Amino acid sequence: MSWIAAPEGAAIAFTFMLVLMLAGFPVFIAFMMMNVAAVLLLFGPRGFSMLTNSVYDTLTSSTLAPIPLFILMGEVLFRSGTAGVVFQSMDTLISRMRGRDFVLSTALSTVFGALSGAAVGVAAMMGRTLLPQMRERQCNIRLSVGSIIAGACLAPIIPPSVLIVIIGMTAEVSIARLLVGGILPGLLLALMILGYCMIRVSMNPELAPAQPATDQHVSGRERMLALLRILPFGLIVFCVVGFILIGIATPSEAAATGVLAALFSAALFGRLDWNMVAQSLVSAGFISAMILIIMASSKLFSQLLAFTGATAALANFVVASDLATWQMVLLMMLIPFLLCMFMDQIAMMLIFIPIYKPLLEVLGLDPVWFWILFLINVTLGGFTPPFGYVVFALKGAVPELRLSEIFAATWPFVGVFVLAMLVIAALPQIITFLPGLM
Amino acid sequence: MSLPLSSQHLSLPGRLLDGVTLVAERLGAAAFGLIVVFYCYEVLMRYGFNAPTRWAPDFVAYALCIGTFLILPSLTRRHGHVAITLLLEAIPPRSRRCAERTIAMISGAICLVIAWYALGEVIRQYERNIGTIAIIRLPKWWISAFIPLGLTGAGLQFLRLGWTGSTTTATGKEPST
Repeated sequence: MSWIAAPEGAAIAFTFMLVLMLAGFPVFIAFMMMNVAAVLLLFGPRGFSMLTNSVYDTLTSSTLAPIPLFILMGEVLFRSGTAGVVFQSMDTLISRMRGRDFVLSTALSTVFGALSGAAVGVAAMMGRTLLPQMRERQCNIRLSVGSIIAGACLAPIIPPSVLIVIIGMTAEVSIARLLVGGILPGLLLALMILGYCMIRVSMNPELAPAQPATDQHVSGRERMLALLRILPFGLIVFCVVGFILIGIATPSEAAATGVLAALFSAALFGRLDWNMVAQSLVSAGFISAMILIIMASSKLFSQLLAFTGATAALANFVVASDLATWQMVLLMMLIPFLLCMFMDQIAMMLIFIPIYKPLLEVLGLDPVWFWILFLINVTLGGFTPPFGYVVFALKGAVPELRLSEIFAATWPFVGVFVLAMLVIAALPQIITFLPGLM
Repeated sequence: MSLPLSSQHLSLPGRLLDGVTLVAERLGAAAFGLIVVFYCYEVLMRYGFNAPTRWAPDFVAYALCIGTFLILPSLTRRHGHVAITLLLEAIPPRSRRCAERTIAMISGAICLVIAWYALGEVIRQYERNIGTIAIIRLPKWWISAFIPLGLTGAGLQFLRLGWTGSTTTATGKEPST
């Protein structure tokens, strides 16, 4: 079947898979169907052993271990209710000022981003806890919803991050360097989200009415207690980020000690019980299996792309094209961004990473810089209307909100993310500085 | 998160499938829990006693594979797979149900076909006594056997979802077999 070996064959396979996904097939089934068809065409039934071994090799890679561990860490914190301690402590610590709820929202998003690897959990938690408080205080609903959704999207960028592990594994780039590379862009995004909210509030104070004087007094002792209560969570962040930065643990080991620290925090606040641990394990198992089976199914896709010569042909095309590097980077960001508006982030990443990987060498781009920029882009696609898990997670947590209202709220923050990406693209040190210290 | 094993309207094969699915789900969750134990033990032994284990990273990798495939049938039963339902949601409810049933049946068939070929590969590994590439060598089929097992469970669950028509996605509701 020589026709399939041509890049055109890979393009047909690519289109076939996109059609299957858009038709509503589970993503892993779409990958599997493409694999089965390609294996039959290229090698016949004997090639099926390759499919089985590809699945086995992917899932017996301990590089993927941080995925269930990061998810489990977040599950323990949210299910034990200790995330609520963070919420209350931050609420006490942040000074009374106009627009403080937006400061609280961004600060909480950043802290939860450093404690959890997935945006969906953070959005749901913030939707249930912070949004009712913001509504009660008569903060503008659109700005509140937008800041919560954008803030939740910091979780995949600030370590720990499940998406970073997927990128690192698929693109064969150091996961530790990618995790550390996400810190400064995450903080920059947090500042820009906060900056946007505060500018809006300063231009129109009605967006965040001043609170009654009775609400405003917090004693020094209360602040000290709040600070003490938040300290155990610093241990979790240290276990995950600190261990990697110091270089004493691999990302997987750091993630495991992070889970242990999360259990310790739960115990410290009297929230550790067997039922909670069992529920967290089952829930983390579900989410992990959902992600891992997609990764296992997609592995052969990337191998087949290389085997058929499609990736080499694409690299040759880039070499022959007249486009400047920045134009190529723009194009490479634009396509997944547009598709992410309609498709699942992980599926999109697993399709595009093997295609983009050889192009980075041709274009001479720093892989850590490019993949973090790609991550921010995919994260942005994940909350840009009309499709986005984070949007749906918030809608699920606050059913009375209309979807159109949530979508309208997210657009200004799409602009904030795009602006941040431009800044990061222009100043690569924002990403490369910390990994350079390792 | 438990499955409705006591539901009186379940047929015997349905109850059997659910029973196996539930046990597999619990064992899969335990496998993921073991990953934490293995790694924490490894870190403790390495930095506490300067005696790193030879087995922890390999056993973590096995637990990852085993856990994923043990949970797969339960994930399928709960409509837990990621799917892009944007177009499905745009078509009339009757056509949508029909499309969802068709998708579930095709997905079930695909899983069973791959499970069949995976089983062939597992048998080949057993017959040729192929071992894992690890410091502590184990027969590879001990791990890879979970691939056809999980895919068969998922395939049967897909077929059941397609057959009974309880395919509405992402609701978290139990199928009404």
